[in-house]
Amino acid sequence: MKKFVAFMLALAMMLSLAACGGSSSSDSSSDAQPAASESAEANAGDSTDSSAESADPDRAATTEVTIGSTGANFVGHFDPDGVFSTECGYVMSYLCYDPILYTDPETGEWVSDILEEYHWDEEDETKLVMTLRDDVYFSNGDQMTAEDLWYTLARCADLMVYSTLYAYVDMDDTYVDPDNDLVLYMQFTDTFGPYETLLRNGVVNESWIEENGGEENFDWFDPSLVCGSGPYAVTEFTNGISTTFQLRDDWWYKDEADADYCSIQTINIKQYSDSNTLMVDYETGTIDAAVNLSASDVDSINDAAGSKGTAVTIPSNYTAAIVLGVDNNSIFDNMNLRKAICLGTDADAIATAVYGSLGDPATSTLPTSSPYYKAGYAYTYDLEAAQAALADYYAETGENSVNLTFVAASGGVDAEIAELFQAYMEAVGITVDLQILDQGTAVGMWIEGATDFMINNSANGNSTNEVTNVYEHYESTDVFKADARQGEEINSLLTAGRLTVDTTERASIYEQVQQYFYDNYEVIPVAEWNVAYAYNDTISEMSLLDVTRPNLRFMAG
Amino acid sequence: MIPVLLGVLVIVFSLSYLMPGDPVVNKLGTSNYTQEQYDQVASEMGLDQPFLVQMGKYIWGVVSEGNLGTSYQTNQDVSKSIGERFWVTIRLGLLSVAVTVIFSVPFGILSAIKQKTATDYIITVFAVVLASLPGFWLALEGIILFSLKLGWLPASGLTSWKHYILPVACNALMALASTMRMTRSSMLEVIRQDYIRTARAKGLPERVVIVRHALRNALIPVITVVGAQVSMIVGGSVIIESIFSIPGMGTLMVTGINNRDYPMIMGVTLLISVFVCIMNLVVDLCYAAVDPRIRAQFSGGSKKKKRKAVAAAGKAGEQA
Repeated sequence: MKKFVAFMLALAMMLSLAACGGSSSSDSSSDAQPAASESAEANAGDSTDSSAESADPDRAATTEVTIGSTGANFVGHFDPDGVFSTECGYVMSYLCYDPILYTDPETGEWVSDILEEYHWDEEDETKLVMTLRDDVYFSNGDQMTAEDLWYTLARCADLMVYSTLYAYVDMDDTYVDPDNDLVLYMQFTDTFGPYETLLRNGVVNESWIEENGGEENFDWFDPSLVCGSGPYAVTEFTNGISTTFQLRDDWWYKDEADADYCSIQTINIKQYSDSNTLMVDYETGTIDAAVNLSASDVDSINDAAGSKGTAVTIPSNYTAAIVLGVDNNSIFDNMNLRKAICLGTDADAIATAVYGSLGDPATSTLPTSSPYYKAGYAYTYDLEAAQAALADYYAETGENSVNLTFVAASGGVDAEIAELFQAYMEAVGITVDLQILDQGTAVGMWIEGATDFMINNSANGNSTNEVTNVYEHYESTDVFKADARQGEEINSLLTAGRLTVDTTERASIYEQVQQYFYDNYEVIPVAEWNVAYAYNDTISEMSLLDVTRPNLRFMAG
Repeated sequence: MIPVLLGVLVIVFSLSYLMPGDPVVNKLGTSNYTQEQYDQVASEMGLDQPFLVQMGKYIWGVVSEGNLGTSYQTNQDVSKSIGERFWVTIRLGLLSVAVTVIFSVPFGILSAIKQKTATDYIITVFAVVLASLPGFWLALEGIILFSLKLGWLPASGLTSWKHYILPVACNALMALASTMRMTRSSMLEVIRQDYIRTARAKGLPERVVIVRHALRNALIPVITVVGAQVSMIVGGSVIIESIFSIPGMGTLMVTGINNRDYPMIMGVTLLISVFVCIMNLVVDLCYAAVDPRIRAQFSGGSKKKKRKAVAAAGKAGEQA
């Protein structure tokens, strides 16, 4: 027995020691930092040798901040053009790579650090001419050339980031100027309005990728292989949990950058699965900023009158809407039924109940922040009119009941919207069989067309405020049958809006689109929703346009 | 063990295949794409082949090369993804069980030997309360109290010994109740046996009677429960890992399921199955370690063989 007790005690002690002895090799531990940093620098070339130790006192009052988010895949691979887990792709891309274009959070304008200038060719309106600056360098010392731009765009097209839109890029006829390796001629298949959205991925170093296994074998999960022209290098990485970025001393743009642009020496990113844990860590100071907050978290921070830091609410530039599957179920051919559904839904009440302080009732299928928004395209709740329209439907068709199906994804606001919609329909006299399923299952059923309604509600918002990103799901080619409109009129409008670069013409077209959806009772605008983030006193200023793909360069200590 | 693992592979692969949802769509996202692009991605992922071919290739890859495949969602090698997280989950699970055993066995014994006293009632009520508490609630309350209000312990991550306290405590408290109750009932059964009465009649001190004569015999069902708990804690680590943002296999599994990432689901399930099989083996060995009767069965078999051999040798000698 003594032996057994001794064995148990020894086992307990051994397990305790093993558990408390530190984390795995890839975990973030302070001891591991120099080694990881050295490894990254060694692999990225001589020019980054002093990056980890570098500190410019003029540029950094606060040297280290930690950001937390509940965004899925917030921390992941290091491929700025990867089709998968794009959230982490963007967060990391903004810090380690230079996008061709990005949106300035203060002005909302498209700007570029790496381009000298860009313009449409005077003779060919489908050709975009981009000229690189001659002082852009990757972290391994290579100069960025137009060949790298070409390679990056080709990767994006191959990897199918925004696949439909990249179909408008003709990579075969996109070429580097034979006389100037800093100039790229980007050929589109047609005039193309939302071209800027195709230019916001980080530029990769083609020769570096080729040297390290090529496109097929390059390890995008290895932090030591990150080689961008951006201001930060990766020093620690635990996949799915945390990443640490260190400001590079030899960043090519350093002398030109404003004092509050990329001024933090060390940025730690932490991914959380649970929003409660995120807020506890924020309130206890474990993290300095929390992004992607709920309405109750924002209210809690605002109620604390500054003691919990600053909560910032920004528009998502997206309108959540309930879409009727008009071309998926012939029952919707009857206008009176569609009218009954649209007038019988109290969208204002749904918006208030679901989004709380982070939402406003929608007044159109486009958000008010869109340059093409027009007011007056939302339905006013009128139960009596809805019931009368339903009676007209019964009279016209001889039916005496309506049974519809609504498949919604669980775990988010969509399920709440769907539940409330079901209740409103019950009041009208329409039975909605509501199926709330996990995202993977729901997606399968949406593709099969096994639902009569869809909720169009971009999880990531619309950081570029590009109208195409709101309306793309209504096109005939959309994979979700209840979303796709097959009508010639609406499809020609959507195509025309996309294919013009004339903003006046675009405004006219998108007004017609808003009018079309309203007149035909096809889409119920529910809410314009906002997103929120918060930061404590460690950070003096933090400007974001997006909380799931934040550009963390706009932070000051 | 091998047939069990093969069975697990076949069942999980089939269930994954039958799950609604499309991994190609999950990879492509909800943006528009053409049928050609869909077909190309499906082909790259090997999903354009018949079910049996897909399953056969996967199983052959695992058996012949130990290749768990490549994640559909991240393109990363599944064994690498799991390797980064496996030991985190195992370490957390084993530590939780160690804490469970250290607390539940003594309290179970105490409850048994003080049966129908205030001590017994307090321990029993405590065990029932613990058994009734959902794990996620316990975890959230722990975070609010010890991290937010008192500021003693960190709420997330796993980078120092302090980070282990809350998740291990939550895991251990959930498992504590059943082990404590099992120890108590098992001890009650044993201490009523004649040989315990005999031991007491011999004048042995009560401590010796309980520890040497009763506990050893009562440990068999406790070991069974503890073995099952190790498997449950490791397999069901998702809640605690999610709440405490721990980079373990639980979170990997959930992400894999949500993304219909079949290779990831298969890889994690296979690793957990291997671990459960090993734990069952360890439990069997523990039986033999604590119970001489079980040990005797095995050693008895070899003695019989020896005796037969000796007898055969004797007969051969006589004949000669």
